[in-house]
Amino acid sequence: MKKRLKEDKKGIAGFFLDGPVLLVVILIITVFIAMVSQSFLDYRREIQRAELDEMCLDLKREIQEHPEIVKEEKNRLMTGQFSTEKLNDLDHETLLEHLSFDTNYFFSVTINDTESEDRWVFGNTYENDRSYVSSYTGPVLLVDGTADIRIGELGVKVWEM
Amino acid sequence: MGDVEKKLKRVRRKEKDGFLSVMDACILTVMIIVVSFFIFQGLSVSLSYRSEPRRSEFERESVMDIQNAVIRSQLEETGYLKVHGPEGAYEERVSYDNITVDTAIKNYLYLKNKSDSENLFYDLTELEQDIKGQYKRCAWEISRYHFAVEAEHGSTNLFISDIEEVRGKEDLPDSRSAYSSYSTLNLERVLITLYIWR
Repeated sequence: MKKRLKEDKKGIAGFFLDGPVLLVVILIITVFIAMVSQSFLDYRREIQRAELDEMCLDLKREIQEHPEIVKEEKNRLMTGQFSTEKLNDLDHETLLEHLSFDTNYFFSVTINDTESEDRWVFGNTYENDRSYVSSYTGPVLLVDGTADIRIGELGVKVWEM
Repeated sequence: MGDVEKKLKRVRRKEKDGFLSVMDACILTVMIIVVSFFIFQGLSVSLSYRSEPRRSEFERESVMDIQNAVIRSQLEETGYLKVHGPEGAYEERVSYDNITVDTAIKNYLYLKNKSDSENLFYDLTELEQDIKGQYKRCAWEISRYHFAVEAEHGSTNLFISDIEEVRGKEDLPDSRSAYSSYSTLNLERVLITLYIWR
């Protein structure tokens, strides 16, 4: 029996040769599939981010021209100049009336007066655990009834439900 | 001779019935690596094509908003020194209250143009620093960026930057975002450009 096994080189060598090769091939294919899947997921995520970024910029532009926020002078809206009096009277529903925002997403709008403690917040409450939030922050001018112009900070955030 | 034939038969049978050889596995690996390389290369290029314009758009929008806000914002108190005499024998401070940055820039350009006279010199350092300070205040969000402002009126110009080494347009990096706004001084156009870069 011992002698026969020793002579049967093909059987012993074949088993040890094919097994590792098969494992290597399976491993390579698995890694390849995993990498392709990862790339596809990255691509999908990137497309979603692009959508959110676009929505964020659109929302920012709409806010900068919002008739219930922007200062009026001789029946003309002064884009980028926010009236503090209008901001004090503004509520979430009135803000939404003039926005073409997709209701499948969440947003928050924050306006800070950099020279005082005044702060106006509209929209949804932002939670930190979101995977991706598109945000934009830029300067705006805050004008009150006394024509005093101060620098403010406009922050817009958009995220998925 | 008989042994050799038997071995050859064994090898042929193995080639026919067995799994892949080590060589086959190596060839397969190389092929997979090559194919993967091209696939991932294509994906990464398409991803960068998608994300780069968006980043640029955010940057462009920031530059525009900063420039529009700064130009129309007010300087509570600023001024300059009017220096008389060839060796600065007599100084007089002129101050402004609540003037817009746009007006401050135009004043700077106007006075700099007039400064050529030997008997009258304008020290515009305060005006320049206040304009620079206002740009810094509005650009807090882009603190990881640098900025420069250039205003031109005829042969006179104003150039300010948050970096000491940047003293002119030629010192600016190629990869920069810019936004220009226009104003008028003595019925001539004044071009005010804000540059931003990483």
